[in-house]
Amino acid sequence: MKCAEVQKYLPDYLSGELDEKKLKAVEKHLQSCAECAEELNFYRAYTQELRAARPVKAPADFMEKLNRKLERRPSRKSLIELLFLPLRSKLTLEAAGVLAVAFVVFFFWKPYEHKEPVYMPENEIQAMKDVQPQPAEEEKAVNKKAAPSRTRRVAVKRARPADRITAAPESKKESAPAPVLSESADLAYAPAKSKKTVFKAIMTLYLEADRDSPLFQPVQERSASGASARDEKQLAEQESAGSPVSKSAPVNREERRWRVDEHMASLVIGHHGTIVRRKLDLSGGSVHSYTVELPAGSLDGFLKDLKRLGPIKSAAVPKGDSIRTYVITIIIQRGKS
Amino acid sequence: MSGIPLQNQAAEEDRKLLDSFSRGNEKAFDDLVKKYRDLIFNLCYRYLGDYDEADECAQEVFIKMYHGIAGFRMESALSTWLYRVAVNACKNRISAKKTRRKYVAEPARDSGNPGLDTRGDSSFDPAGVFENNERQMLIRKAIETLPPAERLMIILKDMEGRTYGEIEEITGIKEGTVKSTLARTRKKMRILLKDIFP
Repeated sequence: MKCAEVQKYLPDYLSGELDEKKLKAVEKHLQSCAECAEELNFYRAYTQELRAARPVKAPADFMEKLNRKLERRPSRKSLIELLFLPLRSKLTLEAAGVLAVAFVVFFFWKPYEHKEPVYMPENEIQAMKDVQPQPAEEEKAVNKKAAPSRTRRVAVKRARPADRITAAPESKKESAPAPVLSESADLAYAPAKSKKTVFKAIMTLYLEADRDSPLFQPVQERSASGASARDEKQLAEQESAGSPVSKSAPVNREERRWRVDEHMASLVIGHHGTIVRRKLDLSGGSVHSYTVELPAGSLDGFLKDLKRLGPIKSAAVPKGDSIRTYVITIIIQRGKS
Repeated sequence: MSGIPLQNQAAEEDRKLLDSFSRGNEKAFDDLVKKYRDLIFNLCYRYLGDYDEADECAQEVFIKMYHGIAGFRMESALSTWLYRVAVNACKNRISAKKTRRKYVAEPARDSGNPGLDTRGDSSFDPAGVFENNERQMLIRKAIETLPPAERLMIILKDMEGRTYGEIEEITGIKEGTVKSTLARTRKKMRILLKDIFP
């Protein structure tokens, strides 16, 4: 084997990759050739030096950059990352969520808004039921037979209502006709088409109360009967003595407002009525309104007591035998005095 | 030459991680990256001679692994497969971008050796990263003066001690061609490094 060929095999000889035949030939040649032996020393030093080169480590942020390029989350931060990262998209989503919640709160839920009691049809029906006498047993039987199987939110329609009312004999006029409760709340409030079908009358009163009106004075104790807002005798005595009913120390606007409310509540309850809607002027004005329901029998007494609180303006009071309930809207205005 | 059989423990560990990753376990992918990132980065750095380029290239390798691991048949070691991907990625960068070579330029030291590439770059100082003596630096510079194909042979065979079979598998170059290329390249290295190895 010549030197050129031997020198070609020297690296493989060093790494042990020569086959047996070549290995022996190279070894034999190296024993007698100084030049090739020197070449072998070079390759030995060369290989050692190259293998000793220290490997370069990847940058410390290699994983982070890789994850960014892959647009994936590092698996080791699963929970926190799940909640908050990747920040670019999650921040947008979270901001959108907050805005959506804020939108719902401010435009639909409106927690900051003063809520008025709502006049629900169920309340109306219940009030009417309280006023109307119960139908006779036979009527109940008929109604039961004809009652619809399904449950309606608003109405309990009795069987053949028109027939019952129109066919009612004169002798039975004193007994209450069977109520014809409409399936619609609006119909219950609608003006009656037929006199005999009217059971609820709607009216509006304007009560003008000046600064000295009893409306703005503290409520006095009501008699046990509850029929009158205040004891008439005591009132007469006070009036005859020349002392106004309400001559007390000036009170602030808030106090006056709540005294109005107390008076109205006392008056309505005293006449077996209910306040179905109350609107107090909380902005500092002087106009309040109440919608009350009264049984027909309490109307006169109620109006009489109401007139004690101040002059009343109203259209003609509807009258009729079939009226069972009055729905009265009372608008209280401050007088000019 | 057939693939390297998965016999040793490392290969078995790779296989388990690959199975786990193919079932959707991202942690397994992280483990594989942590295991091979230095190896692949080192190859890219030695081949390209540019730290930032090597960083980009190594990441490209793992991105390909992330998306294309399904095509890996486990007929060879994962490291061999990654090497092949890395070599191809480096070749593409070299040919497409005429890769800038950023080396520590110390012309005064190289003045007596016209064979060494003294092209320099001031943006990065690799000497501060991994070179601790002048001999290592001169060897590396000598390697970088070689054409890419020859450089790759020196890196794989003389620096990393890969077998001819592995080199053929990684580069796709037949063993005979590898040997002749290496013989020719070593002669060049012998001349380039005559100051170090007189």
